[in-house]
Parts: sequence; structure tokens; C-alpha cells
Amino acid sequence: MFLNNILFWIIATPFLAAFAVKLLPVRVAIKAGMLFLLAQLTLCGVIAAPVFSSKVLYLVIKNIFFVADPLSFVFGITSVFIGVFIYLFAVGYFAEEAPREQQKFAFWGLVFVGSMMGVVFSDNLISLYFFWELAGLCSWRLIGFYRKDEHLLKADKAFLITSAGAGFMLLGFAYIYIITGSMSISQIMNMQVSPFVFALVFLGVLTKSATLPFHTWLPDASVAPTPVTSFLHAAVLVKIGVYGLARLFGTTLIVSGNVMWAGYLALLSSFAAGVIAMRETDIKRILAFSTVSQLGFMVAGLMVFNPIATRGVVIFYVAHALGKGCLFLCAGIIEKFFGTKDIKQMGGLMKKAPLLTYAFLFSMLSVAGFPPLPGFYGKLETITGMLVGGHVFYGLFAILTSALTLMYMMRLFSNVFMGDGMEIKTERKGFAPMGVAAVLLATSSLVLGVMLVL
Amino acid sequence: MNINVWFLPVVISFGIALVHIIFKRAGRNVRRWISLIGAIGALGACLYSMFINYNVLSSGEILGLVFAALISFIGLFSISYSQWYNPEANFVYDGLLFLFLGGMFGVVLSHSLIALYIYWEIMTVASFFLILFKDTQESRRASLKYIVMTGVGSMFLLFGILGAWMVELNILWKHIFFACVLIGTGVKMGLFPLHTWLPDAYTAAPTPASAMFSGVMVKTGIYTLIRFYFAIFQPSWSLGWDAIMMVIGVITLLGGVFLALIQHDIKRLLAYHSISQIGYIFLGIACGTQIGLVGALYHAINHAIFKSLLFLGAGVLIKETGSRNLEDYGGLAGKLPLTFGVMTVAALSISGVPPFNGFVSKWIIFQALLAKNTGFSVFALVAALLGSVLTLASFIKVLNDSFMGVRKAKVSVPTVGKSPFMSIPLVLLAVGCLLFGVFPGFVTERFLFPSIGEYLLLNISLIKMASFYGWLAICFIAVIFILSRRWIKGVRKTSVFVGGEILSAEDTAFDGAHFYGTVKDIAPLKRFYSAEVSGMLDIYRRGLQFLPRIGKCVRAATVNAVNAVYEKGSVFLSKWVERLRLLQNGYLAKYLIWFFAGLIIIMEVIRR
Repeated sequence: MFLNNILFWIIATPFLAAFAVKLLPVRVAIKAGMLFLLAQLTLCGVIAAPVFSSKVLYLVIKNIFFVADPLSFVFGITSVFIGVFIYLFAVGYFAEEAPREQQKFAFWGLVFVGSMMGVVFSDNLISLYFFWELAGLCSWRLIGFYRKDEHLLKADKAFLITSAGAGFMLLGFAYIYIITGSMSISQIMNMQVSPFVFALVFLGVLTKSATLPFHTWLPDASVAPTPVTSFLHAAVLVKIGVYGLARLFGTTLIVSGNVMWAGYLALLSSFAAGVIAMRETDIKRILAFSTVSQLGFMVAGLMVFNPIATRGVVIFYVAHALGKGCLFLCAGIIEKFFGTKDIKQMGGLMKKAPLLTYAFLFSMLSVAGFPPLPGFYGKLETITGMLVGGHVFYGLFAILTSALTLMYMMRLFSNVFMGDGMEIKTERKGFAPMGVAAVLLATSSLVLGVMLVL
Repeated sequence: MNINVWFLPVVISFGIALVHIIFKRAGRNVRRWISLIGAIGALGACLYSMFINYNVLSSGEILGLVFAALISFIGLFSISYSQWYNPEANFVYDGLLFLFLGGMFGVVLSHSLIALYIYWEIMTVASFFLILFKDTQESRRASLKYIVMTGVGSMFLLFGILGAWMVELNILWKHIFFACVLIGTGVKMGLFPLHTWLPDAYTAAPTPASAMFSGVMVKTGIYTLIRFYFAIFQPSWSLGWDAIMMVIGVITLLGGVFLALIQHDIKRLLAYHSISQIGYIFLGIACGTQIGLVGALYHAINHAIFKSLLFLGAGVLIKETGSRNLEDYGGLAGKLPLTFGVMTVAALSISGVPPFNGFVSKWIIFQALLAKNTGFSVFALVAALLGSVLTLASFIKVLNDSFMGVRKAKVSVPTVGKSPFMSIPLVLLAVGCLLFGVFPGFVTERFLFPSIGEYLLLNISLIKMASFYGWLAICFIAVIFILSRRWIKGVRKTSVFVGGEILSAEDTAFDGAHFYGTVKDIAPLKRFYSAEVSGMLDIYRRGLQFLPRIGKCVRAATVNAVNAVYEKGSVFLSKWVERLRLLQNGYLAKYLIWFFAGLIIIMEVIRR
């Protein structure tokens, strides 16, 4: 029962913290948010051992179930972990902003993390949908953070696309209820649903995790401040789609028909985004297309319905979250360094910021799948699962996409870090917490990789 | 098999790399001895492992150990040499060298293919940093090209590994997996269309590192390919590949040597020769027979010896003159007699002149090609012979330009000091060239035959015959030497007159670079050379031009088109929504009509 209470506090902490930062003095808002997230991370650490010893934790609040099992726990703790570093980064990033803006970021970021907690620990489809939409709402507020007209347009686009998808998903949930007679995920285990129901839910997943026809909102959302984009790409928003798919169709429901098209769509998205990233010149857009590409890979890995591939996707999710989180934080620092987002105008950062270079390089290699970094194990298991499941084409596509990832990442790296030195505006304050956050994330990536190899 | 000893070289190398990072503030002497002791320890561990495990090893393990011993020898020599070459190198350089060594040991000693791949990538990343080490524009470009090409290649290798692990596949997929392995290892080896990183990287890296790249890193690709080709993909089903591999081998061999002919940069020239020698090794593998494999393996070992010797010798020249350009050298024989001697030995060895080791292994490969006796193999044999001749021609240019003639006054750098760290590796490698050429039976019978497994079909006398030719050549040279001492009393030196005017030595010296410059103008080769110089053949540069273009099209097709749909859709929607406002015009009478209409409908529904 004690552990179940902890599960309650894990879900409740971000929401309580969000209101606490509204009450606290505005200057300490982000720091307070970071401390709250650290507390939450500690709580997650407490339930880690029982969860992984396959003791599933249940929490019942007025007919709404919350469950912590290894899958949801991994997704939850990763978001909180990265959230801590994003808040640390934001301390430096927003150092020159008005304190009220800082408080707004702290508030909405915490609600964002809280809605992620709600999604991953929900055992009920309706509560899952509720938190799913809450996350969409937060993303709308955060993408249009500075309230400029063009930012608002992009925010509207993101919100409209994701919530339209979520509407279809709700329809799918209704069908699931009609077929199975239950809204509780733990009660509909191993039941069969038709491909049509799958397609409805998959629409929600596609829009949320930015796959091919619905992917354009994610690169556009890179107009947001860097901590926000980092949240969107690494910690919270787009990973909700992957989680939903892994939870509903990776471990729970069984699709009675052939849904290979879904995997091919994801792979196509993955490949197309990789090729587009070769062309873009805006550093954040390149990283955003990279996220689209990696998400397509993850969705395709889930679409082979193979336990090895599913495990690989979960590992790759963690690796990508750490790596891409760090890359976005680095991109934020680089943007502040050069005062531009255009990679053609950058160069020679290697000599001026060696630690940042290594952080960027290792995160990049992790995302591209170089051993002994964690991204490699994710890709290895996913592709193994694809081949074992007999989907050799999936594997070939995934390998080609990995190769593309390496190419555009190295292009980005060479443009930003190598070459001749540029004028750098180092007058800004607040570089210390930003650098520390990025380097710590890269280090945790390395540590995770070494832990996986041992 | 004693597993504790087995991985000792890997553990020692990574351990020493860690020690270098921990004691980064240690003095130069301390770090020098840490490096040397570490390298000797790794070598000792390899030899000890070979000694105590010899009778219980499987064939693949012997193969791995042979390569490990090779790596540790070349590694020790390069590390010793780099104490003389870059004494000012910092802890990063030393640590990277050992990380690189450890990665290579891991590749050849791993028992699992996934472990092999992990070590392979550690090796790739370490060598990336080694190429980047000088941090000039050139090294940045080269390292980038290297990591992209080999990184993409190794992803193909990973796919091949995973495919090999799955047994129940149809033949088409097996072919695709084998092609993936070939691409993955071929990038590392420098097979022809994939070779373009190699000259840039070898040129940009510090010379001891180039010696290790050419000597042993390339060999890990060969090791992996052999493990795949002979252990996992049986040659019996891959028969269709023989001809393709042979053609690739011939193109690599001739392309490499033709490009080497026109180079002026000594490291670049050696890099192209490296590609060409890989062509020989690849031909041996392509035969798919045991004798071909023995030839390939033996040539791999020999190539490691003479090519690292050539690179280390070139390093002495570079250090002496401060330039990599052959035209800046000249007349160095008197000043660097040791380097002259060992470079001559290595040059003869790479050109396949008895009694040196290159002859023996080429001899075995030629035998294998003859024994194969298909149209392709005979063609390949002719090409290989031509390649040998051209190699010799190219190395005569190197020896002539750098050691003969008069010293050019262009570059004036103070003479570098001698050091045992430099001279001992050079001498030992040169001795190795001779020993491996005269006693080929020792390595082939004791290590290479067991590593292949069955060797009943193999005609050992063929290899013994090579040894016989070696002795014959030694006798011949000895006779000429003795006779020449008796007959030639001395060299007459005299001035050159033109129109009664004494010309200076510089004017009369004939430059090898200009002599070979005419090769460029041979009609069929001209286009090939211009294509290579302009980067037409460079798969990396082509890809970098090509992919963004595709990216533009894809972006137009997906992002822009989808965005257009969203925008048009929203405009359309808002237009129609505008029309709905007609229903809501503010007159009470109209609202009342709506009200009553709604009421009637609801009543009607309820009534039913």
C-alpha cells in the first residue's frame, strides 16, 4: 500500500508543483520546478525495484485506475529524468527573460510532465485520452510561448492536428469498448480487434508522434524556445504516441488482420524525413526531421509485433530521449552562441567549446546507433526483432535510415563544429547551467550504454 | 582454451588507454614507457595465448590469433616509432592509439559477431579521432569523410551480421545479406568504388597512425570478410560471387596502382598502393579455394609488414624535409642510409621481387588463380602481373625521387636526430620482409593451414617452391655483389658540359615526377585520371551532391504538399463556415422560426 501511495504522489507531484510555482516568488519558479521534478525522480527511484521485480502496482482513485508496470515505468522515469535537465537548462536559457515568462514556462512545463505521467500510468482508456489531450493543450501553450502571430499559427497547427487525431482515437476506444466490453487496459488483455479499430487508434498515434502525412507540425513547432522543443521531442509529447502504440497494440490487444501497411507508412516517413534533413539548413528543423525519422523507426519496430522488437523500441526510446534531449539543449546553446539558427553561418565551435562538442558528438552517435552508446542496442534489438519476425524489408529500410541519420548528423556536426572559427557572442549570462545540463545528459547516455553492455 | 588469457590483449589495451587518461599530467618519459610497456604486454599476451592454447584452438580462433599477433607487432612498432615521430603528442593521442588497438584486438578475438561489431565501431570512432588529431582543414575533411563512409558501411555490416544469424532464409535474401557484408567490409578495406576515404584519411592522419591504418586496420576488414565468406556463408552457394568478386578485385588492383603512378604526395601514393595490394588479397579470397585463401592471408600479413615499413620510412622523409611532396626530396640516400636501405627492401617486397615476402604471397595468389582456371581468373592473373610491374615502376619513382639525384634546396629543415625508437622498428620490419620471404613454410604451415581447417587439397610444394626461388635470388644477388666488388673499381664522377659551360648538378638531374607525368596523357587513362581528380568517382562527394537534391524533391512532395492541403482546407472550411452566418442574422423573427422548427422536430422524435 505504501508503494501504491508513492505511485499516487508520482502522478500528483507535477500538478501540485505546477500550482506551487504559481504561489512561489516568480524569480525562483524554474529552480523550484526543477527541485519538484528531482523529488519526483526520487519517488520513481523508490518504486523502481518493485516494478522491475514484476510486482505491478495498482492505484485506485474513484474508479480511475493507475498502474505501474515496467513499460510505463520506463517511459515515465525517462520523461522525469530529462525534465530535470531541461529545467536546469531553462534556468540559464530564460535568465534574460522577464520573471513572469519564467514562471509561465515552469507552470506549463510541469503540467506537461504531469500529463505524461497520467498517460503512461493510466489503466483506463478514457483517462489515457484525457491526459493525452491535456498534453496537447500544454503543447499548444508552450509552442506559442511568446504569443507572436506566426508562433500562434504553428501552435494552432500542432494542436489542431494532434487533437483531430485524438478524436479518431477516441472513436477507436469506443469501438474497443463495444468489442471488449471494458475500458480498462488490464481487462482487455489479449483480446482481438479488427484492423479498422487499429486504424482509428493508429491515426491518433500518427498525429501525435508526427508520422508521414501528419508530420509537418513537428518541424514547424521548432519556433518554440529550446527547452520547450526539447520537451516536445525528447521527453513528453511525441513519445506519447509511441507509448500509446506500445501499450495498446504492443502488449495488450491483438489485431486480427494484416496491418503491415502501418509499418511501411512509418518506414516511408522515417526515410523521407531523413532525406529532407539532408536539405534543411535550420539546426532545429534538422533535429526535428531527425525526430520524425527516428519516430518512424520506432513505430515500424512496434508494427512487427515481436517481443524482441518491442523491447528494442523501448531501449531505443530511452536512448533517443537522452540523445535527442541533449542535442536540442546543445542546439539551444549553439543558437545563443551564434545568434542564428542557420548552420551555413556557423563553424569552428570545436575549439571554443570542446565539452559541448563531445556532448553533441556522443549524443549524435547514440541516435545514429553507434556502439557502445545506448542507441545501438535499441536499433540492434529492433532490427533483430524485425528479421526474426520475417520482415526483412523492414530491417533493410531501417538500416538505410540509420545510414541516412549518420549522414545528416555528420553534416550538421561538420557545419557547426568544424571549419573556421566564427564570431561568437559570449556576452550572455547563464551558459553555465545550460552547458552542465547538456554535458550531464550526454554523460548519462554514455553511462547507460556502458550499463547495457555489461 | 584459456579464456582469461584470450581477451588479455583487449583488456591491456583499454587499460593502458585508461591509464593515459588518468595520468594525463605525467611527464613525457613516463607516458612513453607506459605506452611501450603496454604494447609489449599486449604482444606478449598474444604470443602467450597462442603458445598455451595452440593445441585446443579451432580454426577460426587460430585465424583470429594470427591477426591479433600481427596487430600487436605492428602496433608495438608504430607506438615505438611515434615516440620519435611526435614526442610532443599529448595524452589524448596516446590514449586514442591504445583505444584503437584495443578495438582491433576485440574485432579479431571476439567470439560473437555482435561483439565483433561493437569493437569494430570502437575502432572506427578511435580512428576517426586519430585522423582528426592534427585538426587542420585537411584532417577535418578527411575525418568527416571517413566516419560517414565507414559508418554507413558498418551499418550494412550489421545488417549482414543479423542476416547471417538467421538461418531460414531464401537464397535471394542470402545474396542480399552477403552483398551487405561485402559493402560493410569493402568500405573498410577500400575496395574500388568505396575506396575514396582512404587516400585522404591516410594522408591526414599522423604517420604512425597511417602505418597502423594501412598495416592492420584494413586487415580487420579482410578478417571479417574471410570469417563470413568461409565460415558463415559457404563458398559453395556463393559461387555466383566468385566472378563478381574477381572483377572487383581486378578493378581495385589496377585502379589503385594506376592512380598511385601519378601521385606526388608520398603518403597519398602509399595509400593508393595500399588499395592496389588489397586488390591482390581480395583476388585470393575471391578464388574461394584453400590455396587462394592461404595466399590472401599470407599477403595480408606481408602487406602489413612492408606497408607499415613504407609508411614509417616515409615518416622519416617527411620529418627530415618537412614536406610530403616527392619533388621536394632528392639525394637523401647519403643522409639517411638506414631509411634508404629499409625503403628499398620494402619497395622490392611490395613489387613482388624475390627473395622478399611480397613475392611469396603473390606467387601463391597467382597459383590459386591458375588453379581456379576460369576465364575470369586467367584475366585476373594477367591483370595481377601487370599490377606488379606497375607497382615496381611506381616505387622506382619513389626511390629515385627521394634518395637519388641531388638534394633540393627548397626545404631547409634542421636534420632530425636518430633514435632507437625509430630505427629498431624499421630494421625489424625489414628483417621481417626478408624472413617471411625466405621461410614462408613457417607461418603458412604452422598457422595459416590450421586456420583454414582442412588442407588436404592444398599442394604445399607450391609454397616451398617460392622459398626455393627466394634462395635462388639470394644466391644470385650474392654472386653479383661479390663479382661487382671485384670488377667495378669505383665510380667515376665527372662534370656535364653543354657548349663549354659546366651545368650544375640540379640542372642535369632528371626528375622522376616529370618522367611519370607522361602517364597522365595516355589516351584511355586520361579520362580516368580526370574523373578521379574532379571527384566524379568519389561516391561520398556524389552522394553529398545527390542526397540534398532528393531531399528537395521529397520535401516538396511531403512537407509542402501536406502544408498546402492544410492551408487550402482551412481556407475552404472558413469560407463555408462564413455562409452559416446567414442563419444567424440577428432578427428575432428568424430565431423564432428556428426555435419552432427545432421544437417540431424534437416533438416528432419523441412521439415515435
